[in-house]
Amino acid sequence: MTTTSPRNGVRARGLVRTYGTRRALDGVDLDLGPGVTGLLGRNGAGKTTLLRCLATDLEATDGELSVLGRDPERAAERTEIRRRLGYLPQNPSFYPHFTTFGLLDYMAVLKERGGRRERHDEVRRALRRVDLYDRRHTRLRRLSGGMRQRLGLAAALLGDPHLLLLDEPTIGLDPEQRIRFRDLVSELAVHSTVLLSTHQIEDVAALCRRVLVLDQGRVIFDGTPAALIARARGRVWEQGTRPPRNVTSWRLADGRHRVLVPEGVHNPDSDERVPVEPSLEDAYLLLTGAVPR
Amino acid sequence: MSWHLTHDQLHRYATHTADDVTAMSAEAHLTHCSHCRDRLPTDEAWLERSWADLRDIVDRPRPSPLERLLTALGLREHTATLLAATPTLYRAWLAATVIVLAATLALAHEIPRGTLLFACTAPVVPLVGVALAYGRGVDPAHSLASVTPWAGPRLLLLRTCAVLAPALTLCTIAALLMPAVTTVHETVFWLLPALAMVAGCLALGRWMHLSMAGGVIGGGWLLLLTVCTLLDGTDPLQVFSPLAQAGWATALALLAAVIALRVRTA
Amino acid sequence: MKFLRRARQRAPEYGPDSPDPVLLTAVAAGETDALEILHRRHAPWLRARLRYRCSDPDQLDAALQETFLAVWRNAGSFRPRPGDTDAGAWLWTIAIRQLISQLRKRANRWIAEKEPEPYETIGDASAEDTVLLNIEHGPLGAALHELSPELRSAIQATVLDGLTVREAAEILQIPEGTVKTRVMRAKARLREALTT
Repeated sequence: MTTTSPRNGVRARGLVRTYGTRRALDGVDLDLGPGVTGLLGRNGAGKTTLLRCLATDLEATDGELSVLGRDPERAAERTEIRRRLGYLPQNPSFYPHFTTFGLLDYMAVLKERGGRRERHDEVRRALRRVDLYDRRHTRLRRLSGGMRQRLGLAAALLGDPHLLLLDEPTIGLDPEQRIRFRDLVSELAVHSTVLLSTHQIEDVAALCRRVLVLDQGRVIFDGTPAALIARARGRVWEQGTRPPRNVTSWRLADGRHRVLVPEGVHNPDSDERVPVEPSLEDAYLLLTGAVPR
Repeated sequence: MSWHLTHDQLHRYATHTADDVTAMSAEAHLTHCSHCRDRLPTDEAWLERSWADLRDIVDRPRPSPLERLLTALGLREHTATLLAATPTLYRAWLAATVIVLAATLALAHEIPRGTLLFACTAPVVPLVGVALAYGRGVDPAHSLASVTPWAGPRLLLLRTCAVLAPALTLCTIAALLMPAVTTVHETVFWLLPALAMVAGCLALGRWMHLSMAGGVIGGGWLLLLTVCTLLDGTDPLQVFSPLAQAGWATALALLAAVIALRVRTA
Repeated sequence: MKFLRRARQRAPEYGPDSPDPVLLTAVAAGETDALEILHRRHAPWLRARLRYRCSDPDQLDAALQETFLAVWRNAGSFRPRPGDTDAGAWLWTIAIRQLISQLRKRANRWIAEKEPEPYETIGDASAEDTVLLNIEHGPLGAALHELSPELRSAIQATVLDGLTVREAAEILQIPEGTVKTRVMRAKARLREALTT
């Protein structure tokens, strides 16, 4: 492989991953550096596959990949990557009979974190960061979904990773916890590279300087949230009547309709039609051409 | 309190430069005056260290009995933690092993040629354990563990040891309790096939899920026994004959070399 | 994994400014954070005070650690006098006894440790002792100055530190009889100084 990324980033060129005949990743080019990058896309767009490839959990079928300046296909370099990697998989599952402390301690051993004393101190710090310190004696089978999610995040944070890959991290968190989560991630992103896969567009809007949109295994947008919004300007309307079926729209609380008009589609003029400033969500829906009806 | 120690008195007391009487007076006062205690100069670094030491004692999880046993056996603390954290299925496998071996033992004492059942099952006991020890599907925390530096061959071999130690012990005990066991061969005839099959499973694990590899090898074992039974005049126990044992030993050596090579290069 | 902790009572609400009894109740319920607040509040002065009785920093830190471990285990046995919101005196009785037991350990490593006696708040000191301790300057200060160092240390151990004669004998490394006579002589001198 010839591609190398900076020591704290990721570089991919023409990354391909196939499952049988299906191409889950179909030639992804990617450069990531410190800061939070949001990864959006429909279910099946390849988000999880991309994260698993970057996390050294899956081997790419083709293409070039360099993570933290190292080649994940070589065993020794892969281990080096793993020492500096935090990965929160989608729906992480645990050993139900473990306590939260026990699980993080086990994860910290797997991450080769020092002697017992330093390891335990680090586990306590991680538990405090995700607000689970008071639950350190609780068995995992007794945790709520949101707590499990935070525990998974704590596990990813062990070892102060240079690269943090988070797959749907805010599922199951209540609004206060989401704010805390955003705070934590942006704090980490000062020095680390964070890739955040999510369906929660508010999280992207609040956290990310950059957003990637995947569709059918390809990157269809790579830029700032503002640039994504700019693309949608002039195509979002509010009107009194329901638009034709090939246009994305939904009924608002006041009985009017918000309409997203893709390029090249005609939306017949209706009375009281007003252009409105697009949100990131509007822009994303327009880009992926979702028609939620 | 109607009066308080002066800054100077506190400072001299804290730096151990107060004379006896001032010190006594300061002490008598400090015992009851939280205001002056709070004003006493404090060595923050020392306080931090002292609390960290204390917390490590009051907030340390007590190791499980298994972890204590492993540490007592001389294993390092983190290895004991890793070995004790076995997937949920490990316990089920251990329980099933005890039950199955007890059943074969009971049967062997009841019916003629009952030891045949033990001969067929003992070699697959470690294989089943290893097949359930590692990988997506059998280990609930695999998705978290699989991208850690310990993941891969290192963790797999460690867990294999966690399977082999109880499996070999239990099978040896069962073999010793079989009726009319007199020779060493009668005690450990199952050992080489068992190890060879575990090695085969680990070697196949390069290309497929470990549980599937275990299934393939286990299927092969059944096929071998069936063929031996169906072949005219062949005793299924032929798979443990001295000649066959030599074959198992060769296979084990070759597979071990393959695994060692894989660990070296993986 | 099980943690070193007792059956959980409900911990009261507490914060860095809570009074000692509240924190001790929380510690009794297994709250390490409450123990941290108590440690931050009391460890510095206890350490400063122990330093006047032991010059070896290792033994001193060990005694202090044992003190807070004893607090962790026995927080439930703290019985404040009505209206008393300060555990300073109670903590000191624990600390000084832990120091004695540290010194004893060093002196007789091979002698099995006896169970420590239960900790009690220094009982109502006699009126005489209270007078002795509440005056900072004035005639008593001068009288203390005039005492010989031996008599002063005997008074310090028995009255100020609240030790029994036996414990005082141990920390001063003199026979119990000597402690008794020195204390009597010291008190007589002080009384004399105050009445004349």
